[in-house]
Amino acid sequence: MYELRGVTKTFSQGSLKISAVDDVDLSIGEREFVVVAGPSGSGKTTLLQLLGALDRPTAGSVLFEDRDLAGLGDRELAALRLEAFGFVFQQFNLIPTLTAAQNVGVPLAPRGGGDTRRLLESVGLGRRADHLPSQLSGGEQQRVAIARALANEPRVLLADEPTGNLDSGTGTEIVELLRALSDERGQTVVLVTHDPGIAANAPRVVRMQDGRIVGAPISVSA
Amino acid sequence: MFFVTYMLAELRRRLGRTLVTAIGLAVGVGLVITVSALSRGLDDAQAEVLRPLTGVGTDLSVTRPINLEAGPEGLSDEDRRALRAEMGGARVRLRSLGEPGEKFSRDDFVPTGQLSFPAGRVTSVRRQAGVKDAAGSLTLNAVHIEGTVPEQPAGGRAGTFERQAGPPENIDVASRTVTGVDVAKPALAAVTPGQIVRGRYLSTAKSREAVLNLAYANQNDLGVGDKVSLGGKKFTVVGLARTPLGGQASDVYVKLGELQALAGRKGRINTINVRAKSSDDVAAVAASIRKSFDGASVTTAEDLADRVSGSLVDARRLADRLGTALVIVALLAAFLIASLLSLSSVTKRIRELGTLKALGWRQWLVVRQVAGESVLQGVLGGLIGIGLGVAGALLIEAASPTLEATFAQAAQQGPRFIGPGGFGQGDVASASTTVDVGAPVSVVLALSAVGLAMLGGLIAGAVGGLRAARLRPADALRSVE
Repeated sequence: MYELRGVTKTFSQGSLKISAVDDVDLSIGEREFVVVAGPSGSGKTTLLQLLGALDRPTAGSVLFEDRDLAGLGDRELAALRLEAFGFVFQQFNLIPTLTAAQNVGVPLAPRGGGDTRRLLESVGLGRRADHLPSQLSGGEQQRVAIARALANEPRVLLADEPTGNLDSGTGTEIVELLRALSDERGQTVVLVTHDPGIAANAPRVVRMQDGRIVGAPISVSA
Repeated sequence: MFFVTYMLAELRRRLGRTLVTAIGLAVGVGLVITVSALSRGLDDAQAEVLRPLTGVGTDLSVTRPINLEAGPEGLSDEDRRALRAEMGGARVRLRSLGEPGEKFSRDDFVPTGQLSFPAGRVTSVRRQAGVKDAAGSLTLNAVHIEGTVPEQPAGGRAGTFERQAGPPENIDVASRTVTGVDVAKPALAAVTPGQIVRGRYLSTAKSREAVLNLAYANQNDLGVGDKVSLGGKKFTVVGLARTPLGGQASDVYVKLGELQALAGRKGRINTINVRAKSSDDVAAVAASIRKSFDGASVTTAEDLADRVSGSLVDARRLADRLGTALVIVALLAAFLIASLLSLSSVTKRIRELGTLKALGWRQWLVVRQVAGESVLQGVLGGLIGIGLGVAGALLIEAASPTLEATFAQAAQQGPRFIGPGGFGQGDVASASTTVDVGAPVSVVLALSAVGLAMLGGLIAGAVGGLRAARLRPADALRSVE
């Protein structure tokens, strides 16, 4: 599904250039559940953004289903994000003025809407559909964000520190929910975390340090 | 529906900012409505002042003025001959009135400042392109002189007092202006049926009838049914008219044929009132008459408007200049405030807008969202602005300021009294009237104001939307709210 070859992403701060992702090679297959682990500043989130077509690499190529994302225009990348990717963010990124159901409907709006209640029921929040984010707990907000990420039936689910703002118990529930949903729907999941506990239970872990992938890739058969 | 729900939810979330933006736009819109309403009120007031000047059906009037600026010597030979003929009756030869010490009384008619011309000119004017109708009239000064024939002045020219400084003390002179109107065309007459405030208009019957200027009637304690004497004939007063401000207001109006006969000017007139087929034709008709009628002065309603002065005109000028400047400044300020607030709002929502892009919203959808919110703010601002504008207009209506309009009666320049030895310069009269100024608000204006506020919202939204459009989703998601 993904083939990354020599991918580098450099940011400039004045005359200083920082390589957030440095010459990374990586392959990710269909239906894989991959955890990208590493300390803060190791380039995990930047790698995830490159995988999710949110950014373009400074060098190298990110092939998704044999298409080089670096060569696509803004409109094509937006269309790809709408059609193929679902995102879950550490801070949930829900729109505070919209209800849970309306938040789930955000990626459906460009297509004219869809069944948001069923999606909320699939994450166990059917009864909280009309609540605003401020009326939900952190775990519930993240469930709404997962339902939103699943709304457009993406082929890849990209989660950036989805447990970062949750207590460990809720974090475990969220990871289990993501795994269950991906198993059920046959989706590829790439989950970024710095939590060793989550990494320990993942079938495949990619460790990053200073923008590079370090150590031998760990793959555990499901 | 989702987009509208989202827009309304965002406006509610930022209620304070929404209200500040809306009120900023509302002040601009309110000013536009109030100033426009006031300007319209001033236009209406001026039209009210000018309506009686122009008459109900008259678009322009044609006269043949005497140019007295340079004195009698400044006249062309032709004008001088024509004027001498017109003024013949004004030369009072005392020797012919009787022996010194005898009583005498006589009436003469002299022009008010225009040369007369054949009434056939009306027909030729009526035939000109663009002319719907035309009617002639004759305006003269009726000079009544009575007294005692004085002793022969020593060393003076026998029989006349025309070169003396004034009439002898034992001779009384009174003059009044008289206009003969074509009763067959009352709408084009110098006095119209609509101006009658008491009694009735002149009939087409053969009886001698007169309509008096209301002010003249009051000054002389005359009313409907009374008699006035003109050229030694008695006329029954059948009506009183509120004579127009400025223009060629006369003291007495009679039928044209009767005045022509009394004044010895059969078949002569000195004014033609013309009705054009369309208001668009007035300028062309005026030019055509000037070209075909040598020495003619053509006065249009527009010319009359230029002769109005006073606080009404000052206020109108102020509304046109300062009011327009105020409106422009207010609107620019409102648009600027709305744009800055929209920009600030976008800056604070970078992560939210970045999330929308991450979730697959195309750029134009994000721009539409931001611009839509601004347009809704504009609608709100427009509605509040209508309220403010109407309130401002109502305040003006309630205050009902009274303004004065002064009309310089250029047409009245001319000999009213003939002194010895030449033509006296008549009064350069001016007349004033007061008029209450309203501030009517039109529905079209109110709807245009909402459109203006929406445009303001759209401009503000476009500024914010452009900022949003440039966002790269990865950068936006990295931002800290």
